[in-house]
Formats: sequence, structure tokens, C-alpha cells
Amino acid sequence: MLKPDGRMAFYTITPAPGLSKKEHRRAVRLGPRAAAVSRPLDELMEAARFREVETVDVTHAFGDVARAWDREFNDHEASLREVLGDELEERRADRRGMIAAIEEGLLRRLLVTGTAPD
Amino acid sequence: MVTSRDEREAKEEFSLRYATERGDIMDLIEQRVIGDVWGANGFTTRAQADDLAGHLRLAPGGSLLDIGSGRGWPGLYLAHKTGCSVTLVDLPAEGLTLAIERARHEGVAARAVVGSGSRLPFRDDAFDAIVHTDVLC
Repeated sequence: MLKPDGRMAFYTITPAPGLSKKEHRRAVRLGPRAAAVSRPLDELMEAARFREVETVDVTHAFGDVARAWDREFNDHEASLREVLGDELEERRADRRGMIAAIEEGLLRRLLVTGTAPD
Repeated sequence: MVTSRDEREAKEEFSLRYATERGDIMDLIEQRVIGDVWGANGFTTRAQADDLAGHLRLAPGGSLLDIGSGRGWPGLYLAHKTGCSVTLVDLPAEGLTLAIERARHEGVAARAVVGSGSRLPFRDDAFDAIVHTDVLC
């Protein structure tokens, strides 16, 4: 789909490398839907003949943003309950699980960039 | 790995979410957390979206594909910022409808395609750049 020399850039959340099987299962369970990859993303990009592949770990910012959502949801709980109803607690639980996984070193977020083959 | 079951569940969840009135409080919170208001609830901040514009080398006349675009974040924002055109792809039609309404209002060249990121209906050499954020995890 990309033109020759076209650019791809994406953020993705994946289990951290080097986890035990138990930790990996916990990372997948607490992470966003389908947060699992079979190989490092830079390897996958290079296998697809992308050039100039770069990966930047943005997990620290990921944690900051996840905690900011949680803090805002706490601060505005009453108003949010009127809008979201029972979904409020589901969203909070999901996000708190993700925050725990980030703080335990189970999840990381990456910025991956590359150039399509010419 | 994204399965068809994952896709079905995501489509159902987000169709419902996009069809639900958000209320001013959600806009206020989103502005404070990510720095802009797009009906997003993810982790890509406006500063990170601005970084994406540079990494993608977007420019007027270029063409961008945003996979899993929801209500248009960040693809529509990037098109508005850089002057490129954007094709938005997502499974729930509800978010895309809102995105196209916003594109018309803001004068951005945008089209929407309902589809899966794993089966994209585009020819070779169709786009100058592709972006997605926390979609194909």
C-alpha cells in the first residue's frame, strides 16, 4: 500500500521482553486487546524490507498518561458516573490493571518508524 | 496477534462507545490528559501526534492512511496540521461518520473506509505514509 520510500510510524503496546510465561500471560491479560507479538517489531519491519527502522521506548510517557486518565476519572467521578453509568467502573478497573502492569515492568509502549522499500 | 474474535469484540465495544453521548466532562478530561479533544481515550498525546507528523514526513499534497482511526485521532489531526489528505480506516462506522463530519467542518480532504487492518482494500503504492496508534499491538 505504501509508495516506494513511503513512511510508516506507529505506537504500539507490547509485553516487555524477557518475561517468564506467567508474567507474559499477566501482561497480555492486563494490557490492551491483543497486546502480544511473536517477534520484535523492528525485526518484523526489516523482514518486510523496511529501511531506517527505529524503535523508541515511550513507556515512561505511557505510564504518565495512564495515571493522568485515572487521576481525572477519580477527580470527576460523580460527573462521569452520570455519563458512563456502570461502564465507569469497568474502564477504571481496566486502566488500573494496565497501570499495575506498566509499573511491574510487564508492558511497554514503543514508537516504531521506518521507510518502505524503494 | 489480532484475531477475528478480537476484531468483533472491539467493533462491538467501540460502536457502542461512539454512539454514546460523551458529555462535556469527557471533553474536559481528554483535553487535560492528551491535550486535544477527539473522543479518544488512549495514550497518544498531542505532542506525540506532532512527533508523528515529522516521522511520517507529511506535506501538502501527500496521502496518509490511518488504520484504526476512531473519530479521527490522530489521522485527521495530522491531515489538518500538514495539509495532506487522509484515508481513515476502522471497523465501527459510527466513529468514522463523526470523523468525516469533522473533516467537512474543518475543510480537510478525508475519506472513510469501514474495514479491518488485517484485510485492507487498497492497491499497491496508494499512500505516502501510514500511521496507527495502539491498534495492531
